[in-house]
Amino acid sequence: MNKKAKLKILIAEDDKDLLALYDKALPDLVFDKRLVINGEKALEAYKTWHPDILVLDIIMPVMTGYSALKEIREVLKNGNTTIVISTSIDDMDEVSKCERLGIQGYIVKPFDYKKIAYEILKFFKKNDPERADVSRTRLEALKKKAKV
Amino acid sequence: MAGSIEKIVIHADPEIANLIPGYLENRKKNIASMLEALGKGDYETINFIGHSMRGSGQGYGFSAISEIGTALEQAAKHNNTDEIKRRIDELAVYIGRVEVVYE
Repeated sequence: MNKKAKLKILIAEDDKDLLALYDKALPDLVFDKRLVINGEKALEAYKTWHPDILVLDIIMPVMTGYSALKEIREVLKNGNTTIVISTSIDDMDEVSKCERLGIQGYIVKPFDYKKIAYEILKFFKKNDPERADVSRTRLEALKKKAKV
Repeated sequence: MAGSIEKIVIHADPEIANLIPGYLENRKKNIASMLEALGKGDYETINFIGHSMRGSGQGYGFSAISEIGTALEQAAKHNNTDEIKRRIDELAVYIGRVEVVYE
């Protein structure tokens, strides 16, 4: 695996305004993104694209994040994908259920779009510290450049 | 001044300036959808929209939208029509008064 390769991130979120915010928050020079609007599409993309990171909203129409996660864990037990759940503060029972299936972390909505990339990298670091650090450095360089 | 509407000034990040008009426009669409849903007694749709507003408002810099969304979600769970109407009105007033300053 090329340690400098962009991180492939798949985001499943039914709220298009939040998808737009993720899109803005995760720069193209660091992340190779796919954005989908339900669990079913997440599952399809997951199976064929093999992302490094999957961000799953828990409550979505068609197929919930929990159902998608359950299927991912049943079908692809040994995948290396970092799985992050996004949820509201009062969905903690759902988070616990997802934790039992195996996730690396969770994001609480509403989130600060300026911090979300770092938060996701923090979870990714559990699986691949070296690539997480490379991506973080690249992210910081981009932010510095934007300020100049 | 008599008759003038006091603006609610929100300071937003210029980085998301291109997203904010669309975001506010979508909330106007939410108002129409919720009024229609209320007419049909479709509390599930209102619950869903409220939940969605709660999750996105603050991220865009509109914490009031997250608060209204939370209230709508709760009211919809309890089929509380009066509270839903009041919160939809509150959202409409807020959208009408909000002025975004990018800095």
